[in-house]
Amino acid sequence: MAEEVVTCRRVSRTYAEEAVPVHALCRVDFELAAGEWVSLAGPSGSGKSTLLHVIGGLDQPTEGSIVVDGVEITGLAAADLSDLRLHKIGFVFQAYNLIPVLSALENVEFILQLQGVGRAERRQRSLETLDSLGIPELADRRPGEMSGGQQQRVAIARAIVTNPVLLLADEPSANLDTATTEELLDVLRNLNRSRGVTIVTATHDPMVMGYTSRQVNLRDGRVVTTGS
Amino acid sequence: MTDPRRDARAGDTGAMFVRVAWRNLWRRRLRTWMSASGMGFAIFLVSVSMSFQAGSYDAWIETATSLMAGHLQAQHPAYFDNPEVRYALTEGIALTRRFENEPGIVAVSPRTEAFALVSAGERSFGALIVGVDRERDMALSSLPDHLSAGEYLPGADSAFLGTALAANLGVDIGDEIVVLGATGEGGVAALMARVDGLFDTGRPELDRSVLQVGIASMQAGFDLGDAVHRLVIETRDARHASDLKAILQAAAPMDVRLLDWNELLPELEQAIQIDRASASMMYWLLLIVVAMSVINAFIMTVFERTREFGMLLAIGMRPNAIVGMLGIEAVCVWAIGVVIGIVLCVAVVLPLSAIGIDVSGIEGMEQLAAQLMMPDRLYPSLNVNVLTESPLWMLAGTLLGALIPALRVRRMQPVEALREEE
Amino acid sequence: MTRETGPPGGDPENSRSEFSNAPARGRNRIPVRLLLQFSWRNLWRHRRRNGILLSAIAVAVAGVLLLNTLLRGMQYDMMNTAIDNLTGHVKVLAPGYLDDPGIERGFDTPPDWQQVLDPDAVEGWAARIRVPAVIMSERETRGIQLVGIDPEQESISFLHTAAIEGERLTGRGDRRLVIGQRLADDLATLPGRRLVLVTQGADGRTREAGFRIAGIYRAEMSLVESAFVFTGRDALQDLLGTGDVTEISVRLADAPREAETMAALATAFEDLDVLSWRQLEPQAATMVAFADTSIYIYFLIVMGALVFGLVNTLVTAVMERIRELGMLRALGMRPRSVVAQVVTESSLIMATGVAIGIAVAGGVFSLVADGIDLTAFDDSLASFGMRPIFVPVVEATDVVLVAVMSLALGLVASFYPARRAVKIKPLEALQRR
Repeated sequence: MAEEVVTCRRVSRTYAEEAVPVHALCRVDFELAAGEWVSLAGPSGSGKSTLLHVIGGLDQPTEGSIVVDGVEITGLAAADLSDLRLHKIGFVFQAYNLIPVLSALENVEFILQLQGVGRAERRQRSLETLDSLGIPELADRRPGEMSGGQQQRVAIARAIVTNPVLLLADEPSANLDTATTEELLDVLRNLNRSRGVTIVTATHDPMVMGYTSRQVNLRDGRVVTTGS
Repeated sequence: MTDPRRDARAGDTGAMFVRVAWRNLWRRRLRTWMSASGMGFAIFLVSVSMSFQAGSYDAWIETATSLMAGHLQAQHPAYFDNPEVRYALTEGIALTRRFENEPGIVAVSPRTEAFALVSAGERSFGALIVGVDRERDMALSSLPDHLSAGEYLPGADSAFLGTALAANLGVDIGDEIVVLGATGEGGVAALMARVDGLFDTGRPELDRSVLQVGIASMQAGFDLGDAVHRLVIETRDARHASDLKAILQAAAPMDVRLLDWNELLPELEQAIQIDRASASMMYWLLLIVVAMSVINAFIMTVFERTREFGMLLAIGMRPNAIVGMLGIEAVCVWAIGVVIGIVLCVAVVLPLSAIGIDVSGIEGMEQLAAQLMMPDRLYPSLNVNVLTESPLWMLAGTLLGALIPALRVRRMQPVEALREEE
Repeated sequence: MTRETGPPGGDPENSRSEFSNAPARGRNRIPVRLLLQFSWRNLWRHRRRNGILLSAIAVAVAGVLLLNTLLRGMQYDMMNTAIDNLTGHVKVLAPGYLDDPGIERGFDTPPDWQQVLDPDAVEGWAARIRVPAVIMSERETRGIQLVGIDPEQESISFLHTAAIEGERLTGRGDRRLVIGQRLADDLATLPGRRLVLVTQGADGRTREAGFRIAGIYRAEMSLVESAFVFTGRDALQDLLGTGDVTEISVRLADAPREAETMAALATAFEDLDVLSWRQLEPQAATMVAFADTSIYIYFLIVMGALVFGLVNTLVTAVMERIRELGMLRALGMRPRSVVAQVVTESSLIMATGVAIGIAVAGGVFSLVADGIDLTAFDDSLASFGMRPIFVPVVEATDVVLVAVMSLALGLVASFYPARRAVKIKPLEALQRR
């Protein structure tokens, strides 16, 4: 058995700000082994996005424990969570992934720069990553000059350029057509298989589910079934 | 990892932030131009107005001090509060020579003074009689420049008086007048003089009440010997007169009191202060209005880019770094505004500072100028202070205006920010 | 629908002409009430942003108004001080007196001359003798203006309210002096002491006489204190050997009726000059006129700075609503109505801001209405003809002027944003994401 990258124990997330408290997650247990590609599935409001967010340190659970790469992240200060996201986690979102004023290459470099990587190394790693995703020709284009699928590839490049322990993707294919979605999923599969990137996707796109190694179904904040 | 490399990286990251900030500005071209133009407008107005202030204060001081008072005066310690004939400086000539040799002093002119009755025929008026050393006084006083008839003290028994006083006395060039006053000991002081010149300064209180005669005849008539009442001193720079005063006072004999123009002409100093105060009220108002516009522009910016900030937070950028980036954006807008404002200001003021503005041409200004002792031509003056003060205040206002909305980023929850509608 | 999309940049005028054949013209117009409702709700959609904008307008308006009240206060003060200092609103003088004052330029007052004055317009008048004189104490000599007055008539000048150490003059026959504090200091004298006056009689010969000091007055300006010495008019006439006076000063209850009063006086004193305070105190008159101009300058500067922020916000408000406006256009709203909406919103923001600004200015004003003590600047203010404590003055016309000019500025500022809004093409706007 490979080591566990994520371990969630009895994780709950309750939104108490509403008039009626909403239990987005209810005592969820969830483990993720290195090299896995898990798909979180369920209708909207089932808690799949919330689970993705708490794992990624974007949101804090109300109860329970989350260990990412051996670090307990519940209760971490905001700055430490920022560092966690910067160094250990890569994010790909549904849309609005890139900094609009920067070219693809600059977008990828930007995150390395936040990590304090030197200029030459930064440039080299970014170009290599764009190459490995088959999009070297996009390097100098800005997000506004790219298609949705191209933007998502650049987003993936930015997410993996730091060699994160975990790649989180929230509805990455929501704005893409079928052919583009397939290309994107091929990219992710390639990453997962050849580079051993651990991936969690939250989606209700059935196409995605065909690619993943394991599927976790959520409903009303609880894990219903787990299967592959 | 060595420190220099880390520093280089920090500079590198800074450059990237500046690039991102600069490009972000041009996502909303109009807004950036509007904010920058607003700042430029304010900087332009304030700088131009300050250059005129600086120019006119210098001119006020020069015009006012050159008429009678001078930059500095040496007097008997009691004379300033009680201008009585007996409070005189003895050994006037020696003291004059002594001050003339001091560094920083351009000219020194000894004067005697007394209130006395001036008579011509049956008519008598009270006047201030001033005894002057013709050559020395001409070197520093502008009163001879206001000559309207005759000559300036051509002879030992000449008198030089205001046109209004001459009219009141019913005298003209060539007429004899008699001055009757009291000596320092209370005896009768008398001297005869011939009207050889008239002056017209446009200031009624001078034209109606001042009469100049040669210092030697006044010293003789008022039994003063070698004594004088004022040593009027012109320095190299009126603005540093009080510093020079302190130096001179320390070296001066016990019975000599030095006074600078702030003390001699308190109303001048205070006119400047009032003008400054009312102008700075205006400047503050402008600054606040512009800063509020900046706040508004950044509220809109932060609002529009909430999702983008959410994404930046999600990929691990710290909130303070985002606030810093917005700060850089603000500084960039400010820099554009400064360029606009300063370029305009220099373009307007530089030619004017050479040729000056004819104030007397403006309706009603002529009398005002005479009243306030202003010259006819105003030369606005550009200096580092004028060109930096309003930009610096504006920078403070801009940063404040940008940071107030930007600090919202620190309270942003990335998840909620990402969910925000575009 | 496609027609209405129009050419890019089609302005409202052109678009209207395209519709001039449309039969349903009258119906295609937003009722004003709906327009206002729209605009009002849009204001509340962006509370923070509009709140700041409103505050900026309010600060600017309040600031300008308060500066105005200060300027008006200074203006009134200079005017009143000029009038109080023995000038009055209107003065009757012999020709040439101003250049060469003396008793030989005196005149006889015809009986019943005051009947030409309308008692409703006039607060009071005083007939005086004012001649130059030399005053001497044991030690010192000064040149002064010797003024012979009827104390009962001097309710129109500063003397009426001035603080006096010692006694006031009891009547026009009182042969004692009232001198200023500054002069008393210069002469080193006190009430009860004697002073010698030298002046010229009506016959041209010099008169010299001793007078006792009844009292010492304090004036707001030291220049006044050192210049004017008062005595009874009849007593002075005795000394000078005349029955004439040198001036009649009239103070109006109703300042705007100055010209009318001057005309009436001119008929009663045919050979004499009738002059207004503006002619007698040109410096004060200039400063008063200058204050009027300053108000416009201040307004333009501050509001000019505001316009940049206003345009900014309005353009953003339009750009944010591109989809909404495009949808409304697609539904058949005419370009003109889009303009109307933007303009209404701008005007509403401006009007609200101006209202708040006026309220704030009113609040601040009520705090300082009793006057601001500027004693620190005393000497200098006196040289301008102002009092050390000065009271801000509100003029309704200034407030109205600022409000109207601000609203006009709001309209000007909405021009560009409205043009942007008109250029929105319905289809593009709807497709935009």
